[in-house]
Amino acid sequence: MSDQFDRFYINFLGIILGAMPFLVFGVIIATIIQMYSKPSWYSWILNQNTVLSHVLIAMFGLVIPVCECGNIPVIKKLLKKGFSFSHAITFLLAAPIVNPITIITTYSAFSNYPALVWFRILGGFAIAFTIGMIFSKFKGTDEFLVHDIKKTHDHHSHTYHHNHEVKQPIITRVRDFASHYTLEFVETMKYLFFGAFLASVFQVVIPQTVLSSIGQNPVLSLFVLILFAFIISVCSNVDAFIGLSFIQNFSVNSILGFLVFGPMIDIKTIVMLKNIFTSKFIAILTCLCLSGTVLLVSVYYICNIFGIV
Amino acid sequence: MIVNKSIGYSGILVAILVFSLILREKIGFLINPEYFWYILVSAIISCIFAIIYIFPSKHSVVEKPTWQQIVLCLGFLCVVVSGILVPVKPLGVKNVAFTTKSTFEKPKSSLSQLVKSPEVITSLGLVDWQNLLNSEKNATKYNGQKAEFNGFVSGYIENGFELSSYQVSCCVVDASLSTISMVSKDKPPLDSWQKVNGNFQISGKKPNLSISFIIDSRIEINTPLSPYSSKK
Repeated sequence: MSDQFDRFYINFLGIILGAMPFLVFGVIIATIIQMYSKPSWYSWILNQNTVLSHVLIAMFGLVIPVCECGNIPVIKKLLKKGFSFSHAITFLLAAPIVNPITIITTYSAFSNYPALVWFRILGGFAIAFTIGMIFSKFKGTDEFLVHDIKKTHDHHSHTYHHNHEVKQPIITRVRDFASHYTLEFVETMKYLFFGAFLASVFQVVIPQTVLSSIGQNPVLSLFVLILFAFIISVCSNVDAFIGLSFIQNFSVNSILGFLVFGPMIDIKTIVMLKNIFTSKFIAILTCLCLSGTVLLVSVYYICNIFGIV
Repeated sequence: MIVNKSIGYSGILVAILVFSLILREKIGFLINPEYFWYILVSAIISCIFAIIYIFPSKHSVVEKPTWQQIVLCLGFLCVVVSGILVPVKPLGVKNVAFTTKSTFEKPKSSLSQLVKSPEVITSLGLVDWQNLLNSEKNATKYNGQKAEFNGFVSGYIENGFELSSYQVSCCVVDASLSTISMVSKDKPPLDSWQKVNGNFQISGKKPNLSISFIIDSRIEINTPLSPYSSKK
């Protein structure tokens, strides 16, 4: 019991510390968006036709390279700044994969498997785009937002802009920045702590060795690695190196599933998403991401059989 | 500007958790050593902003915290206090059951060009050696290579013991274990850290490659402040 507690405790602290730099980066970006961005900066993207705007948003991560912890405060601000629901979802799912840090780490880990790298990046992009497009056809998606976001989403925070159009002295602007930063940081940390707690409990209850031992079956191994990605809740910027450590025991198909599903949905992210979305929506999103991942892995598998990749 | 001090204190407490782990020299037991500076800078930024936020100004209106905010602040306080009081132990023998064996094949690019040397190689750790030897097509060319590295004793074999080291990408959650068999007359205590000096004995070919290390000398050392290797 004492060993399990030790393991739980260092996992808990490890997840928090490991996520912290990415989260702080995300909160800084979110604060900059909240304080300084103007809708005119991205309105030309949002005003394109539905397909093109979702394609462009799915590539937004190349400009704002945030992982799955960091992008949650960012989409919260983007929603408040007038991003549509479907655009926000597209960004949420695409940014952790279609971003330069993830691309570089995936390439450096899997340079011997270039097809896997392409499938991860383009597949993640395609899943995010498709799910975004699905929600763009839905009416009443605001029902999926928690009350606090819905309220500000409706008003586009116009009042906020008016407040900031007056040139403020630097000391006031620093105070404003500190205020927005701290509120967002503490709010996100609250969910990170809870998510880290749950992920650490699951880590102790289901050891990695158990997952590895049942992962020899080609179909089962895919779901085992997806489950593993869900449980360990590790950052998308570094998960490629973890995926690489499975290369001898698991099929490349299942590693692709690990690399695509993990950045989109995991325990920590789910808890953090509760800050923005309703539980019902999070359940729908999880199912869609799972289906998209299985479909993508199936395409990769078929391409492999026919020698295309 | 509305100021809610409990939120400011919560931000400071998160930073204090990081500072306390650094001051107790325990942070290396939790994360990839390459992350240290990022985490320190993140904590400093968050702490400075939280202090600026709660620092009173003539335009500030101090808001009374809700009970949820007080509970949250107390929750952070509990984690900080536990971070100070509860001993943080590095991964060791007891964690072997919870982690996967490393099957990491690709060595760092700088290692792939390593040529056998008559000198004792001290620049490579246990994990580096295992990655290098497992990725080499002809690992037997390193037969007899003298080396010195450290690790913890993770088990015993008939003619010696097993020396292991964990490698991490991000933090202890993704740790995987690398182990090399040590040929030795004596058997040091489990979980103790040893610096070993000797030479490699390699036979067979993958997947039946057999790697063992014949110890010329060994000394028991303290657990390093950063006991894990980076997977990057």
